[in-house]
Amino acid sequence: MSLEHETINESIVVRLHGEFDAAASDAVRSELESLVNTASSNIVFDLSDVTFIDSTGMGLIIYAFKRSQSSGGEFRVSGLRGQPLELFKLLRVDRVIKLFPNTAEAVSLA
Amino acid sequence: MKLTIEVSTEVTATRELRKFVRNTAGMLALDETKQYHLLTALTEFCNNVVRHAKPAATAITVQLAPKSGEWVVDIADDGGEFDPVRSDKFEPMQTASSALRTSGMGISLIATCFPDCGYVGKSRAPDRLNHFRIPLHVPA
Repeated sequence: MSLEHETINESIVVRLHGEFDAAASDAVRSELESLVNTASSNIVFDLSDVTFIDSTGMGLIIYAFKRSQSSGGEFRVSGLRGQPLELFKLLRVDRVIKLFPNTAEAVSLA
Repeated sequence: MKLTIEVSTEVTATRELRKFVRNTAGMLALDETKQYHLLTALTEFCNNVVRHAKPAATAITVQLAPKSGEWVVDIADDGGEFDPVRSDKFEPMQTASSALRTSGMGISLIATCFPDCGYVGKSRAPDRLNHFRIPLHVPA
């Protein structure tokens, strides 16, 4: 799992790659939490290159969502497909977090 | 026919499990959704064993075998017993208001994907191993 980020249209876009499982969550947790805790703008998680998410990975996504909400920002997720999209539906997280087909749309509506 | 693999007892064991599922999904004729559910449920169960079993497991074996004409997945481990089915968290996610509750999410996912899964602790098993079984309801 790797993580990169950039600012587009005043939104911080966080791109994750690979499998976002418990081992990957351990590896990126501090960087991700630091990013989210210092963000003063909207956050977009681009998960188009993520092939699997487990409950630990989802826990970090929900943490980011809650932090973003408490600081008054918008939190969006883009590019979900396959198992990650099914997981959002199973957990009904798709009813709470705004999903976009791609990052271009997620940041253009910021 | 039976397929058996032994996975590690490290936190990366779930990756070996998922590779096994992806490699056998075609043979099992699993549709995409069922494959996603199996990947999810096995990962969550294995995470519990690797992270929480006391005493820790020293071996985890996954077997895919026919039973009564249908494929069944069995995960056996020698760690401390933990029956997810008897947990008070073993209930399907039903409302959007519970969507952001992170505690017990893994067990809820297992219940949502495979409500008829079963568990036999090693104290009751003839081979002295814990067995977590998922009936796939696809013909063997």
